[in-house]
Amino acid sequence: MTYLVEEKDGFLLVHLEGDVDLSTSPEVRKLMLDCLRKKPQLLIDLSQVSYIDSSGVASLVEGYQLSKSQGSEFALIGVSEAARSVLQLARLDKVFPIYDSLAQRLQHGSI
Amino acid sequence: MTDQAFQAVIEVEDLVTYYGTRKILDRVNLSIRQGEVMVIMGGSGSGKSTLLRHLLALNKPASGSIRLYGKDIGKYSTRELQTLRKRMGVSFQNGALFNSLNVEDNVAFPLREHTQLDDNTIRIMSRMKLEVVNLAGFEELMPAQLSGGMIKRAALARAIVMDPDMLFFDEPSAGLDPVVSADLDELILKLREAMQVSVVVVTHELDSAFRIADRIIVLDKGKVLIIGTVDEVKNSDNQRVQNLLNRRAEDVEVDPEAYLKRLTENLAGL
Amino acid sequence: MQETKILLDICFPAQPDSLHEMRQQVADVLTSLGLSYDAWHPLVLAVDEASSNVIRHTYQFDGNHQIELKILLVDKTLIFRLHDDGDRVDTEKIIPKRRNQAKPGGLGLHFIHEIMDKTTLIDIQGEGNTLEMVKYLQGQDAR
Repeated sequence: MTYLVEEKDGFLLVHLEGDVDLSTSPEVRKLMLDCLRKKPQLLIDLSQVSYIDSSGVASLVEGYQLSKSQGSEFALIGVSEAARSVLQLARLDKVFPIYDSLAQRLQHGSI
Repeated sequence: MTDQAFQAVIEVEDLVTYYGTRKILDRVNLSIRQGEVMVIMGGSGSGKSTLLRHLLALNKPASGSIRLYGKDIGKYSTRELQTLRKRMGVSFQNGALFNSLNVEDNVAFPLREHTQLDDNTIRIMSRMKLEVVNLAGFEELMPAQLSGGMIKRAALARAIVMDPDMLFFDEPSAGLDPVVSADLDELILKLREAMQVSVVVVTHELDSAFRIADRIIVLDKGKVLIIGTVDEVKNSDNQRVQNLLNRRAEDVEVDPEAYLKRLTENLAGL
Repeated sequence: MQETKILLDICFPAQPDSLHEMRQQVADVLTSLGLSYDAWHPLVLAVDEASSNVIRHTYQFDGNHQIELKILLVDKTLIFRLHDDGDRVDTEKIIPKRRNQAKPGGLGLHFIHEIMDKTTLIDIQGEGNTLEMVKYLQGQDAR
């Protein structure tokens, strides 16, 4: 698993790539919590995620809840097929805000 | 009294029940005819188990009535109800078998409780029922030694040991694999043929419901969505019925906020 | 007589880092059966979640232990058998209750239960735990 963090159009974008599983989800969790400290408008790009397990999903849930409690935005973008099916299985596909891309998020209004 | 009502063994009229202030059943009407297999379906929380308890006269309606053999349950004396219950064989989902008793003693239990029969007679009757459910030769085994399917069949043998007029099953195929579940369905149909009993089955297994039902009642949030034959239910254009047939669609309807809260409550840092 | 085919019989270190390769092996076996991505991906997830549970809860991240994984095909039934040599696990903790809504930490079990047709913690004499997960390839709509 690799990641890349970038700031773009006022958002903090975290691109995740590869497998988010028991071996890598602690890293993803820490990365997200670190990012959230600045209360950013956080978008997690899952388009290159080839695999995600329940611990990865749990990290996303924790990040989302923390964002909500501090009143900042948290959304998933470009959810890959692998990630989508797992989110559906977790019945979380209706819980997270999900956009196809940053562009689609921008169409939904400014921050 | 119409012909149909005359043949009905149980009639439910405008049944309403509450659990605390929550309405569980809302004006349910249903009649169960002599010798028919009635399947009660619905998602979790639809009220199907509550309806079953009312059919067994275990719960008292808040309003409406339940008639057993044409007479209001409320008008039976306690003693009469006890006698009636002996004519009802029940196989509950979890109350399957006494773990401390072997198979034969499990099956014999109702006879020992409710009759003064000689023990030899009781044992022979029990073994006859074990024959019927294809468990001959397993009398001495303890429940822990049986497979899931065998446990269900033993429970079935116990349910019929008093030669009931009515048989009630709560989720008979829960936890069974499809092949074993199909076998159990066959057995239920065979018993109906042989004993001319009315059978009421609560299940959420569609395959099973379609195999055994003469009629199906579908409950949704305490209300009757439809009562009809297998074909009538399959061909229903009611969206909620179709959702149920296409299984789980309703289940997926979660309240996002509440779900997120459940997942994250009492966690450190949140 | 039903023929039992052993599709996979492996032993891997009980470490998070081993999961990737294990998943690859399971995926290879399942795709060679002709299963589509939609069919095999959940099965890989379930095996992965079960293995993660062993690593996390049974071994508590002590990576010196091993996990054995067997995949059997009996007629049209896939059997995934996961064995560890850890302390006995309470069945209640492993076998999720039906339609249990996911709770913190219970998401993995929820996945396993949703994906597989039957999950049993087999109680055999001897050391460790054997978790057996069953998937019927025919009549998948049976559940």
